[in-house]
Amino acid sequence: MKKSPIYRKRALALAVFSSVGVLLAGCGGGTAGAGADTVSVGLLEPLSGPFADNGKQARLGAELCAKQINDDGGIEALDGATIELEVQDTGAAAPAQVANQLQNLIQQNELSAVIGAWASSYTLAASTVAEQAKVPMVTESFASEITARNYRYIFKVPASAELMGEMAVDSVLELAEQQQYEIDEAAVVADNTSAATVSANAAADQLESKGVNVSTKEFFTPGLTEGESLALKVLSSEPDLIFVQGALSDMALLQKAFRNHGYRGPLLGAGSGFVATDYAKTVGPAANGTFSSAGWNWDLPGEEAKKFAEDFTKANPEFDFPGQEAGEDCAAIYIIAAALEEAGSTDPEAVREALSTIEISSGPATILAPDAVAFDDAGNLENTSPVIVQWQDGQPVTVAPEKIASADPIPFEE
Amino acid sequence: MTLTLLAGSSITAGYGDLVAIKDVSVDLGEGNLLGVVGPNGAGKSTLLRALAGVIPVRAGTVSWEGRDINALSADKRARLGISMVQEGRRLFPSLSVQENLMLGAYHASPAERQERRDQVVEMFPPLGPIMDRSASVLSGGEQQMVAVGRAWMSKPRCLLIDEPSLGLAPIIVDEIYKALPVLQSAGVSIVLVEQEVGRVLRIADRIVVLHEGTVMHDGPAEDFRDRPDALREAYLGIAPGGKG
Amino acid sequence: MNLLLQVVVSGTLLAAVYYVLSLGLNIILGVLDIVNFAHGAMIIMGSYTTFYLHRYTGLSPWLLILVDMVLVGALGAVLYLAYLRFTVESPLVRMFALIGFSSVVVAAILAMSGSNFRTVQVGYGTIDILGLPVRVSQLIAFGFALLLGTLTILWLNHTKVGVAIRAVTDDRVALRLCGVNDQRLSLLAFTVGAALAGAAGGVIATYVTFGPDSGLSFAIIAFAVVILGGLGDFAGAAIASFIVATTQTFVTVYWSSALINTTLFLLVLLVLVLRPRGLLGRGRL
Repeated sequence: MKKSPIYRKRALALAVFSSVGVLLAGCGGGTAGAGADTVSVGLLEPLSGPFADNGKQARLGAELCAKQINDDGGIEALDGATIELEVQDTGAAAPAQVANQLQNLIQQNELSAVIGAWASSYTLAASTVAEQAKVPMVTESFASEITARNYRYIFKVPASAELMGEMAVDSVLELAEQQQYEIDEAAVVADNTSAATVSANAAADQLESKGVNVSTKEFFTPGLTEGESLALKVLSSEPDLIFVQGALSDMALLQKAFRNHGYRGPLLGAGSGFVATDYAKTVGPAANGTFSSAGWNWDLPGEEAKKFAEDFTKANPEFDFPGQEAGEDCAAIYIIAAALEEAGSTDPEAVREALSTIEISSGPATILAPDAVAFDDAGNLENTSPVIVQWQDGQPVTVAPEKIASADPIPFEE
Repeated sequence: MTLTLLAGSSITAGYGDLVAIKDVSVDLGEGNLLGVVGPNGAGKSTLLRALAGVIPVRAGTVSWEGRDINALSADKRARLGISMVQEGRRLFPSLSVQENLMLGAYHASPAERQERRDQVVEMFPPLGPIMDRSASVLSGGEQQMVAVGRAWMSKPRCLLIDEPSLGLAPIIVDEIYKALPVLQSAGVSIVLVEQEVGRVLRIADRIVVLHEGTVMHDGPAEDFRDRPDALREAYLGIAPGGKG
Repeated sequence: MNLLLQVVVSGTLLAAVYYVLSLGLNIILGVLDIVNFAHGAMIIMGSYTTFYLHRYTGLSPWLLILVDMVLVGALGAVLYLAYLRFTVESPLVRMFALIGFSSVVVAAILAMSGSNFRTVQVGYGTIDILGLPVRVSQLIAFGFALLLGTLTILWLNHTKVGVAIRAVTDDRVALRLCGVNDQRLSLLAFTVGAALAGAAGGVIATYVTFGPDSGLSFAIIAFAVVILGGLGDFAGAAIASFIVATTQTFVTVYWSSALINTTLFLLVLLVLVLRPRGLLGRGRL
């Protein structure tokens, strides 16, 4: 609560900025006089607060691809109308507040669609507003509950959290087996927030179903002041694999402590922290070798993915590679653009219709689902698969599934 | 006629809505011992506090060697040489006896501080062996000795003492009262506030009787020295239903 | 057996860091009797100062602790002069002032530095103590704890200013009557307390990863240590640090890390009931 003033201020600043942007865009359109109009797409992301890094990636990805579409002549079916992003910062607000933020965004703009809101809890709350307002929402959130409510206006681009967890465990076990590294004993460490405990328990179940003994399961209160004792406890069961999930600051402490006490085996992480662009910088050398699942990774095969990664780093030289959310939200923009072409209208209802039946087999939209972009009845993107990445020399590289892997994993060590 | 060291002229002071003293004038001659007596609630402590600068005066002037010191805070007045022993001793319970004494000589050099500490032990021999004891565990008499000693440590020119006999056994009070003329002969002028007049009359040069915040009597102590009952009657008589 | 030894060794090293965390609070809360809700913010300011100066000057983070002390101390002085000195009679107003100050600090850090977690990388490697790997940086932190703790105790007990500071909350009037300006002493004590909190921020910057609001968990530890040790009792705090750190380590290793805060809370409660003046029974009530 104590943080709200600055967030409010930032949100205000953003609101002012974006309305100035709208004004300018309006003027520009007027002078060009070619009848070209704008299409408003909402972007609801955490741009301040603890998830700001993730939200920032989402915004950069969406902005870059909206600009590309606009530069390429905008939406042809709408006489070259350009896409205008209406950005709203969620800050560190409570989910109910985020729902309100979307309500306001919808009331103040004629949105054809909205993208957001990164955290699953935010998306769950905000999508109810989108559903009621009949504005299609494309989300980069993972939780499968989002599309399990028979909503008609929600479209989810990444694979589900469960699938990611399962696949991450399977892939690491497989990679280890290929290198004759035996994993008999595993430990699970996560903070005791609900999201982390759910995925840690799922990972433990999955490990046990594969015949791995999980003797240590440790759930700690976030905000560790030291990592040594937790490391001592976890390592006392001599695990061959450690599953970790938690906030980046706690993970950094823990991982350093694991290394300090001589653990060289594989670490499998889950959660956005492990694919954040500054993960390696924050954790330092101990980051090397950490596995994680991701909805998207920058080094995926295919010309479109390669081109996006290059364009992104050119436009944002402070990053060595685009983060997971950048790819997801770029694809989301291209998918919405395709739906607008299909619908030939900015009417959100028409855009929803188009999204539900859309099929895209080429172009940047396919960086998420290489075969073809299409949504099932519940709104899940078909053909999308999680990727398993490993941090190598400060970058996450895709190491599984095999057909899209860009590198071999670092040799496993005892 | 002695020079006036500390004087209050027509001072009014109080707390919140309460006016505790009104239009009170006293003066303390250099080297004198001024006794201030009066029943409970007469405004004696308020007078001392106003003189020491612990509370501000609402009207009138407190002066030091003829100079108006109304604007000076208590710590600045202390540095001029006005030292006060508050009612109830008010030691620092977190500190040892030694530390309590040393704080009295805060602005002195270490050597001076040591010298005066020795003088205090000379004045109050029982303090010698308990220098390292915490002030929070002292008996009332020991506390009073430390309080007077601490005031002495600042090498005051004027000492304001508020009810030193309060709650102490007579034998201890004798001990304290023996020290006062010693201090006086060392050049310290003293304002001594007491409820009980007998002892004060024996050592005071001048006596002021306060009643309900105003001065009822002000004159040489020797007028009443041999007949304290007359003085007692004088103010008890005008204080029907007083503390009694 | 080996595990037990490790637990004791890492508990001891951790205790030193916790002691440093508690020093500033022990002056401000224990001696000055100001419940410093901004302790966490002061710590984190020190951490960020070290982070940025280390990044841009490359100076040793240990040297930068001195800069942290000066900077955070100066800010503490400004806070005291501008606001706190007017709140001596109203603890509630003071509480809100301090909470307000810490939200301003957190918001300012967020605005300037973003929510990224920061780490100050210190090399130095590890050495073996009793056959156990111990980071050299932990040993240096241990040395700092001893140094700062000793200096603080000497200052408060064996200098006239220190003795007077200990008397401030006993009786401000009596102190004034000794010719001492109690406001100036409070300012000095608050400044030193803030500086020590800044130093603690510098020390923890070398071993944890921190964000704008990481101060809170460290402030909680500091409060636990100060209360356990007895308000204003610096030797008691040293013992309390050791108890807090080893309890934390033992509970984590032999029980569950989720119970650390619960255990700490119960420990504090127990001490408050059984020994309200702290472990050594010498603290302020």
